[in-house]
Amino acid sequence: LSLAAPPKEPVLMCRSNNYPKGFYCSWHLPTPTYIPNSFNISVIHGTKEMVCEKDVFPKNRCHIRYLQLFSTVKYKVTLTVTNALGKNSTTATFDEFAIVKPDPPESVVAKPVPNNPRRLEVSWQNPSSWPDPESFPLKFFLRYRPLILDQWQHVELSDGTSHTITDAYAGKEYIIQVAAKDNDIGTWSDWSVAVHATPWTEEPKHLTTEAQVTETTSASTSSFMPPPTTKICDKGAVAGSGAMAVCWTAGLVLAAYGVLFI
Amino acid sequence: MAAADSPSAALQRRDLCSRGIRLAGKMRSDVIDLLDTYVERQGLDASASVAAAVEGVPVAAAERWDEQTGTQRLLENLAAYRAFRALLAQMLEEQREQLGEADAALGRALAAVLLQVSAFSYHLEELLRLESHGPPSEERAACPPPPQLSLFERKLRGLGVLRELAQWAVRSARDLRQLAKPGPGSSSAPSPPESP
Repeated sequence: LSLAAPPKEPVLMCRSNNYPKGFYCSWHLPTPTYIPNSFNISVIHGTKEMVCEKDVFPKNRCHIRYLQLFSTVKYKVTLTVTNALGKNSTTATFDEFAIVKPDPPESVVAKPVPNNPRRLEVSWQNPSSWPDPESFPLKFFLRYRPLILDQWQHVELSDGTSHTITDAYAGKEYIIQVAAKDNDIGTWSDWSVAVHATPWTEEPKHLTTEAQVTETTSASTSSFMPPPTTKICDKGAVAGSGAMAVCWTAGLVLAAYGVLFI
Repeated sequence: MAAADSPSAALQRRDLCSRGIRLAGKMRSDVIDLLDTYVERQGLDASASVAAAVEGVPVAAAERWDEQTGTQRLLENLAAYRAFRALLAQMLEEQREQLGEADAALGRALAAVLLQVSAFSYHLEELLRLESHGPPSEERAACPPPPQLSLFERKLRGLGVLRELAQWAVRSARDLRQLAKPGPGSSSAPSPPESP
């Protein structure tokens, strides 16, 4: 049995992910009241009261269209929550620029570069929610690291939606993410979905190649291959190159030969 | 002078816009640094509220910004930066009278921003010439005599000037990007805004 409660101070967040069209505010209660609540939101800009159009889903969000751009006048948003046992409210005050935060970049793709064991080509797209990237360009922050290390490398890119990593460790699988920010104002987006890729590696010569040649010339019916002394190395799930990475201990001289068994 | 719509004029416009965007970006960065210095040296609270429309300070806020023509953008920008040039010169004089050599750093920072504002005004005049409009003549007497304000009111006014200038620097970069877009001549009206 849960006891009904008056609402605690709601948590309110406002953000513009579609600048310069407008912004949205969303809210929630820190603890449940166990009875129905109603929410009322007011948005004031200077002396003007603005309309916050409520979303059908989710119900705890509404949108405001900008009537002015480049204003130094702050926005004041007040959210009041009411139920049968009481009411509570919270107010957020902010500048137009301060709440601009794009959604993360989309369609991030990372590919090896043929014949380049230390390169990875990364590309992405502007978030589809950003309405006019030509007039309001985004800049990007790319981070990458091999799975076997904890430290990220970072690159900030002021234009373009692609970048070539040139210092990747050969044969190591990488994790890569991208974030976006308006070129002039606001804050960085969350990180994009992570993608994985491994730089191109050269395909090793197949062990049985010389043995097969020897077999053919000496008419052997079977062949004996000394077991290679291999070291288990990091999994090389190479994206796109089709090669398996094989490690050999130093000093091993590989001699492929056939042994005749009669 | 090349016709406003000729390919060479379009290239020149794009080049001037690109340089203008970089100037505006640098100017904004320096104004923000100056704001920090100003607030600290003048003993103000960074979040102090300044009257929405400080007399004589051009307001960056624009309604229907996306519907402006290129020429409108250039003219509004030029009028704003000419006004800022006069306001900053006034602030510099007041700062020298008030603090003299005691705060050379603030004076230097103000002078540096004033120089950038002047350079940007000139840049806008170049763009207007390219649009075959030519810049409007500057009315030397346009700047009204400084209002009789107390020291504190003058400090707050200065804060308002710098805040509005920082907004204008952002707006100017956006305006120049609009102007640099390929398409019909900059003087033509843009297409109606998209619905949300």
